[in-house]
Amino acid sequence: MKISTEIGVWIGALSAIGIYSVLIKDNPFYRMVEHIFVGASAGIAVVVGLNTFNNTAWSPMVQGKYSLIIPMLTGLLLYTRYFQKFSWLNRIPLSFLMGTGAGVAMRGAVESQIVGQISATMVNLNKLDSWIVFLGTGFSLSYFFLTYKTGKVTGYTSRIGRYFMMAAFGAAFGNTVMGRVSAAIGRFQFILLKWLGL
Amino acid sequence: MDIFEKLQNLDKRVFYILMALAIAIPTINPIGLPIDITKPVKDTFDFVQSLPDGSQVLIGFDYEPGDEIDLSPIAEAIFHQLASKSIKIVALASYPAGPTFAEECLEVLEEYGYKYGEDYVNLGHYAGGEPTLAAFANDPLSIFARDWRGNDVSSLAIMKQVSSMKDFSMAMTLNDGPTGGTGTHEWVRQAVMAHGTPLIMGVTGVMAASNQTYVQSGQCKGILAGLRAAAEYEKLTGKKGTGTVGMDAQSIAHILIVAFVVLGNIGMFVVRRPRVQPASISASKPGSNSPSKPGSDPSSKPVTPGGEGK
Repeated sequence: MKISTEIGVWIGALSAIGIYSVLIKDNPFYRMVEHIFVGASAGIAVVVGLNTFNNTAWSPMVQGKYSLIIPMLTGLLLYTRYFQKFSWLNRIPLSFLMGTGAGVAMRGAVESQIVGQISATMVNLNKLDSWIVFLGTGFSLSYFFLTYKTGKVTGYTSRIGRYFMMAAFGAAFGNTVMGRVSAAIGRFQFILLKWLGL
Repeated sequence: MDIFEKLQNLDKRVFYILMALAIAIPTINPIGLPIDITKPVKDTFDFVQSLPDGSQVLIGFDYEPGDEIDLSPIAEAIFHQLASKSIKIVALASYPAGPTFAEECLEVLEEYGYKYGEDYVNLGHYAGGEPTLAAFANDPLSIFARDWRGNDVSSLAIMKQVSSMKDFSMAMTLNDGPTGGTGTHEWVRQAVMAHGTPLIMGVTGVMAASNQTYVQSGQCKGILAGLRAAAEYEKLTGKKGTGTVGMDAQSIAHILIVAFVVLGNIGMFVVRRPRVQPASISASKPGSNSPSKPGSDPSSKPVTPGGEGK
């Protein structure tokens, strides 16, 4: 056993124990660590954000790329929402952001998330896996046909579709449990191996 | 009260303690349970192995501290393989914490004699998500004037070989979702659809099922999900790391969870009593001769169409 002498490791380990202490009971130690975590996260985000602004906008502008003044001033308009008289101005950068985002996303969305996914279900039906993909897609889609009354046949298909979806949700839930256990393993490794040196 | 009733009312803190022991004991004393290589991991490994030696790859660190244990081991495992092929690495991040993880993971390259600025670079954080990634894909230098360490990006040797996304032989995103950063869907759109650059994903376990569809459709060349995939990748590269160390604990913890789920369900079926209609309870009370008024009996419930009392 060789306990770490690094102050950062000690802070991290004690913070982790503080967070886990809520599992026993809500307590002041947990509250303190929780507030430190929120504050530190916000602080890091501000520092990195300012660093990004400096690297991508301010420094290049000072070095002669004066066209960057336009996006910087447009960005500042976002803060006019705090002044009632000028708050309408914040719609300009917002609409620009929304429009740009939608335009950029549309570039590949149709092909990647619609055409690509549909064509992936059109498989050669020579394997059991292919049949499962083919039938699972069809039955699951039938569950969402809400524009007409469910008949005898469509009742069966939508029910089977629901089982397919439940299997998918089960897989997602299993992976979620695995992810949460992984998070705990990470902290235990930090506390037991890095901090306590066991 | 029999054993199953006691289990139904078990204090959840008992479960927490058992879970803590299930993780702590194998962490301190590894058992060395076997790790099988699954097809998605093997396919990803084979794809990376097929990349041209000495080419450049782009790695996005798109995750927050909560998912570090899932994704950083994947990054380190794949860096060993990339370094063995002398592949150059350009790292960037859409989350503020991403560049810090990139710095930590890129340290594994030092044992291969990699030089910063020539063989690898950490460009740092970019704001704006997908539109910024799209702009980076067209002209990397338009987004990053300085890297995470403050160097002039245009002066770095590695960046002189890159003028657009097409110059990367592969892109990879280590991703925990689109909230606040660039998600996997955005990477597919901007790397694969817009520029035809092959993409692989390292994702959290939660995201594995929803992103598997991109692999099946061929839009993504490989997917590595969580700590388990990292352990498998470490086995393939022959470099044991955090993933391998954590697998014993993960297996024991999963056994414990499954055992409790099974026990809980058995207990529920054994303990469950047949439901009795409220009206029949009222009628069967000894000495209850007069009809009870609505609300006078706390066990009675209002009769509503479609409700329990119908």
